[in-house]
Amino acid sequence: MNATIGVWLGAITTVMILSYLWGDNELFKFAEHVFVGLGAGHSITMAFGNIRDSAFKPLINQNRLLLIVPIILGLMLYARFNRKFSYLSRWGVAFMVGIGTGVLMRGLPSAQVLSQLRATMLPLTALDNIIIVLGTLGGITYFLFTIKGNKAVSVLSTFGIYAMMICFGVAFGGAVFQRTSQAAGAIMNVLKLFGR
Amino acid sequence: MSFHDVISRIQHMDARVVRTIMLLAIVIPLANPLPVPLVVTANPQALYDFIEGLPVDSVVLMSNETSAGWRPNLHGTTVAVFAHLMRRGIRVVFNSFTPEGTMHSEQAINDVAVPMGKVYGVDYVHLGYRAGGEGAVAESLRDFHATFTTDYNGTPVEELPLMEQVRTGADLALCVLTSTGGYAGGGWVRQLVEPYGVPLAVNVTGTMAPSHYPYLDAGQIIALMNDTKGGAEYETLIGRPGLSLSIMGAQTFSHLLILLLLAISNVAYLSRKRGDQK
Repeated sequence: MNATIGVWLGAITTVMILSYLWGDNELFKFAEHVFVGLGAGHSITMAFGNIRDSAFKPLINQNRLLLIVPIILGLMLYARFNRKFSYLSRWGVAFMVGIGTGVLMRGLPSAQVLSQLRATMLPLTALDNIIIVLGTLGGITYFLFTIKGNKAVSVLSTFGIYAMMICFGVAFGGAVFQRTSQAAGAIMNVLKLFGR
Repeated sequence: MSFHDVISRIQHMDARVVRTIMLLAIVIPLANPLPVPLVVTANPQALYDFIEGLPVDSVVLMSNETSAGWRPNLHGTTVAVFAHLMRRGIRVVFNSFTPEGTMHSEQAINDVAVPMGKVYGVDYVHLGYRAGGEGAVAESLRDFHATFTTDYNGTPVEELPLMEQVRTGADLALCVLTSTGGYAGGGWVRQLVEPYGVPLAVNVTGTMAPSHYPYLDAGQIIALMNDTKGGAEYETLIGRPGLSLSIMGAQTFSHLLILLLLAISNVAYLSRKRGDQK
């Protein structure tokens, strides 16, 4: 029974959303607001559960007193709503930025610099390798703004433009592809009503 | 009616007509599925072969970093890969670093593990969601038990037999990441592949796939599953038609229509340009 209600709700809201294709209307707005509200409600519930399980429960049940520090820093973020104490929120933000940068820097040099450099240093014996090497050099050269008037740089830079245009084309094709998948998935919700 | 009149009519066509034609190009193949020839490409084959080569009782992490709207794109792959792992007797740990990813993990479990009679806590576990993005990913790989103190249902992880075998990222035989944005594959290459040397397969949307090819070329990911096409190919490989394969007919017809519309609009544009020059 619940599954049937779910199928009906899914189908009706999908039709309401798809009605936008014919123009903006109240049904679309209603479905859009329901979707945003549900999404926000679900996220808040999950976030609360997350804080409960990873902060409050270990603090109370296992006496992990050090967890008081992130809880206080988290609460300090809300100080930004009070002008007098808004400076306190920067402590929490600074902590998050510092941690985020530290975590990122841990694997970044090897993952996104050294390994990528190694993958670009290829013998120019195959067409694939030539395209990868020239495309990489061309793309980098295009963003080289300090050298102007040099013919070699200009040729490489032009090659870089074409390489990037092909990449953007691939990304656009991917965007069409993924939107069609989403549309098909949404329409499948409606077709379920007809046993398809 | 002259050629220029036809061109002019096309250029001034109501957008709603185009949308309706596009809608039909999607609805008709979904309502009346047609067999679409599908060639299995290198990436799904690589992931399939890798899983076939894993020892039974290995542990694979499936991280669902998805949001609800992307279900049609990526869920087919998640289900197909999970079904393959379960068939082979490989154990799976689900987790998520986006709130909605947990729903997709639960759906995959209900679609695959429950009908197969697999035992929760022994054959698979669902650790649920943790906030914190890439920082939480790094922390969980350093110590799963400290990051996920309880599973999705609130059971302490210490009570789950499978989790006795999984303490850090080094205990994993493979990670299959399903992602719809954010740090995506790059974050997992930084936090899992480089420090722990664990193979990573990535299941991402069509727009995200091009940005992951450098990782594939560098050997940092073993397979790149591109949207529904990756899923459809994997469903073909394991002989379990599902969500992705059912979408491929609509994909084919809508893409043909888009190509036709692109050709018509370019002919119209060039024709008008030539007319203007005269």
